[in-house]
Amino acid sequence: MTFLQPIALLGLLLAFAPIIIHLLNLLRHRTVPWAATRFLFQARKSSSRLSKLKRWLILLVRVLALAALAFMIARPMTGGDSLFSLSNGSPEVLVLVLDRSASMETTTDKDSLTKRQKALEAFQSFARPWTESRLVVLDSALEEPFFIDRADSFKDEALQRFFGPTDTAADLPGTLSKTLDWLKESGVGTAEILVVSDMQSSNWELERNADIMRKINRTLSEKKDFWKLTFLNMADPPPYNFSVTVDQVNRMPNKVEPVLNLRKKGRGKEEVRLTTRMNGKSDLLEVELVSQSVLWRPTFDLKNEPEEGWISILSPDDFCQSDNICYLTYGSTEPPQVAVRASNPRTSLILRSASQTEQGELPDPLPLSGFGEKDLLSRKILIHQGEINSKVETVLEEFVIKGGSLVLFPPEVTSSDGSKLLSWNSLEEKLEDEIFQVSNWREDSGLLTNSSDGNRLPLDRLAIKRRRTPQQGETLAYYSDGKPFLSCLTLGKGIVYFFSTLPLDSWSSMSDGYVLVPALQRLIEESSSSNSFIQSWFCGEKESKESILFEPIGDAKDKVPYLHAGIYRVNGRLTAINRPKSENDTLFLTVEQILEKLPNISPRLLEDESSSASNDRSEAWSFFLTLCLILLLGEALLGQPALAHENKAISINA
Amino acid sequence: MGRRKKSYSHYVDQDSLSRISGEPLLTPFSMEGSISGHHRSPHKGSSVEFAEYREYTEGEDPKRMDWRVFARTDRYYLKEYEAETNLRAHFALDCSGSMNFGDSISKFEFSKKLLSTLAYLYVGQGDAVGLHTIRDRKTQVLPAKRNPSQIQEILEIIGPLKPKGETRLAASLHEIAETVRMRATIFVVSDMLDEPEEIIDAVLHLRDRKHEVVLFHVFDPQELNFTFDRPTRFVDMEGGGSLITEPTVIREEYLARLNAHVDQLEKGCLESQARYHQVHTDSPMVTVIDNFSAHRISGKTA
Repeated sequence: MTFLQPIALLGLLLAFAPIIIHLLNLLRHRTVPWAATRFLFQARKSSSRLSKLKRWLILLVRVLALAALAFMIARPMTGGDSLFSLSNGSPEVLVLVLDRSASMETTTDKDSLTKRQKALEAFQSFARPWTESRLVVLDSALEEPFFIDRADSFKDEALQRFFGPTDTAADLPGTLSKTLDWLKESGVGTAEILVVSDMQSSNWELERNADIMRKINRTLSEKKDFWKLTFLNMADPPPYNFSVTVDQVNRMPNKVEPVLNLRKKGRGKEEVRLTTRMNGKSDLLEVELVSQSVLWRPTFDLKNEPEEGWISILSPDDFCQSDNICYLTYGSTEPPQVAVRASNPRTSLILRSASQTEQGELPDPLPLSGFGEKDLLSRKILIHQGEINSKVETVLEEFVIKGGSLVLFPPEVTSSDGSKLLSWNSLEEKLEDEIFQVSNWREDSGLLTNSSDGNRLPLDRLAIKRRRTPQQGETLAYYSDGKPFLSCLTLGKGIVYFFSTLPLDSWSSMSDGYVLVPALQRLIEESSSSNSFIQSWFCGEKESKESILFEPIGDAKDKVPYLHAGIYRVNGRLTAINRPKSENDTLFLTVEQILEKLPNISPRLLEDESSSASNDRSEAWSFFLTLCLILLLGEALLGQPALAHENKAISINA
Repeated sequence: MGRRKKSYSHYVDQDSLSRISGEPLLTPFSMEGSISGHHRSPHKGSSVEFAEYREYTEGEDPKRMDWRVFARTDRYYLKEYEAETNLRAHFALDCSGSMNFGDSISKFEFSKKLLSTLAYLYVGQGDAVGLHTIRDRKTQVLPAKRNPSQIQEILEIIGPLKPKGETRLAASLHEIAETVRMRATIFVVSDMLDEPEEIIDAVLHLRDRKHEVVLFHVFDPQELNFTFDRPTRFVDMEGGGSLITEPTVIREEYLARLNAHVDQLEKGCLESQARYHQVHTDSPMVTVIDNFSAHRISGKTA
């Protein structure tokens, strides 16, 4: 048994009061000289056992009554299988931690309710036994506590913003942690927390959230008997699903060529008819899916379309509606201002050739000496090779922080005044017949992503004899020995790419262009898109949450950017908001995997949506109140003097 | 200047004297007095009370012959009359420590008044009165005399007397039974806090010696009611230790024990033709004496 107000257990000392009073009375006795003591001695000797028993019983009853009172004030909690489970006490708060991510909009072939709707139904069943508890919902999209009067309030249309479908991802460890923080700040004594999720791996990211899970574990183990955690796993995968996402938008003169990622569940060829809407005008596109995942690059002609616009691509209905649509925006084309600064003239020529525009314009070469901020005005991309002293480093950092993209190639020699931030390891060389080989790289996004027809860039065919691996950044491509071939570092609004070798014959075979040209051209394309007056976010991202002045466009009526995917005009900029790609994750966790991260507690698992926890812990103060009253009644009855004794005196014969 | 002698005459209850003095205190038993008195004698004498006719035998005084019977029957008969003699009253006063108990008046003081008043009444009707003060070590004895100054003697003895020591009532009564040779009335004034069997034994001993025995069992009302309501330490007045107890818890048992004690004494007295009187210190003396007198007139023995 545990107590909500354990300090009140000090009141148990009060239970000794009758004993102390009894002893004090004995000490405070008066002394009477007495003649007939022989009868007193006899009487005490053979004082009826019943009288003694009665006396001790009265004392015991008084002690127990006070102890019961102290227990009652201490608000004991009992388990469902406890002796004291007579009480029907409710926890103070019932909290629903709701996974409101896009993947929760999946239905099954059994019924038409989505997982989110089932979760809300489950909360209704869960809350049914505890009619006196306050009901609070904390969902993964808003992460703010929302009080409801009744468990069926979610059916109210006016509250759809709080309970309705979203296109967001979820960070359930974060949401659960916020829930516990809120409970702590609110001083909630007892709480039942129901976590409902489809256990999508990307919504939990147990490894990345290890610290948060430890914190949750610690908090819940401290409040072990007061805050109780219950999981409802809704990881039923949809029987059939087709999803479409935008990987990339390539803006060409008079046309847009987005890279769409089409995925389906199930094997075999399939012909899918996609409905497209370009600036409100519908059209149909047919695509043949030959595998489960296909990158498709359709072309949208912009001849009669405005310079800036939007396109939505919708796939047919299936068991998960939220991933059937994707949105993209396009803007005016304006080639970015690219510049090359290289210490080696040959390298400079190769880099400039590789990064020339579609119109055949070569980027500007920048001088090696007298390099300063003025050279980078109106530049979007700088390709740099050579030494970076501290002065140059400051200039480059400023450039990146303001939003520029910097592509760095290692210097041929190491300078004594080396940069600290943008630096390489020492030169490594292979013998004549040996090479460094690139073994793996990120093929799904970034500079080295596969081509639109699915072909990989031939990185593994690069013959690299010399290398200087970068010391910073997240690795995008690895050598076979685990060292980085290419890494990237985000600084402010911009990004820095580090290559580890030079496009010189003495260094590598990069000068053949099979890797260097696509990589640099993709960077130029990306910069070109971002250069226009359009933007693209993921739903629930920081930017979408900070959007205050927005206007839904097209079919996005009554939607908000931080909850719903769609086309919006945010602060005047045409914005495509899509569901996060992580919501396409098909890896689901088991509850046991989550419980492994919570070793100090033993959460309950609800079997299905209609289960309730009525037989669980509850407060037992009413039991102790009843016990106290019964004991006091018993004390009154036992303390009642026998009427016969009152007037019983010796008969007088005088 | 000589020290002024303290007067103990207040022990004699004047109200009782006013009420009783006209009526003699009689005994239902025959007494062997030395002089003429109010009490029946076992011998035939010259009183006005007819006793019996007896046939004349030679040598007897012919004056007592009933000539009317001779005239009718031609036989010689003597007419005999009851003899009336005086009484010896011996008062045995329990002087043990327990007799000191009492709130407004102690049992001992009350006993002194009872004893003095009765002694006065008996001396007043010409009976001899003696005194035995029963103490734990030595019993003080004042032989029975019928002089009016005997009252003063008794008052002089009991007046300054203080109760103390243990009760040895039964043993003292046995001593009295052995020492008082002539038939007498033995008044025992005590709280009877001795073993009832032993007291009854002593009473039987006295009865064997043809004495009339009257027990005055003195009680304080507190002893009978036992109305204490908080823990009390009872200290034995005869040095028998003390005991702390919750009176309400043992009251019932205490009263039961006390009742049993009284019942046993009453029963013993009834069987031995002794008289048992329970007196309470809160009762007026005149009531106590009146009750005693009424019982004697009716001739009850208990």
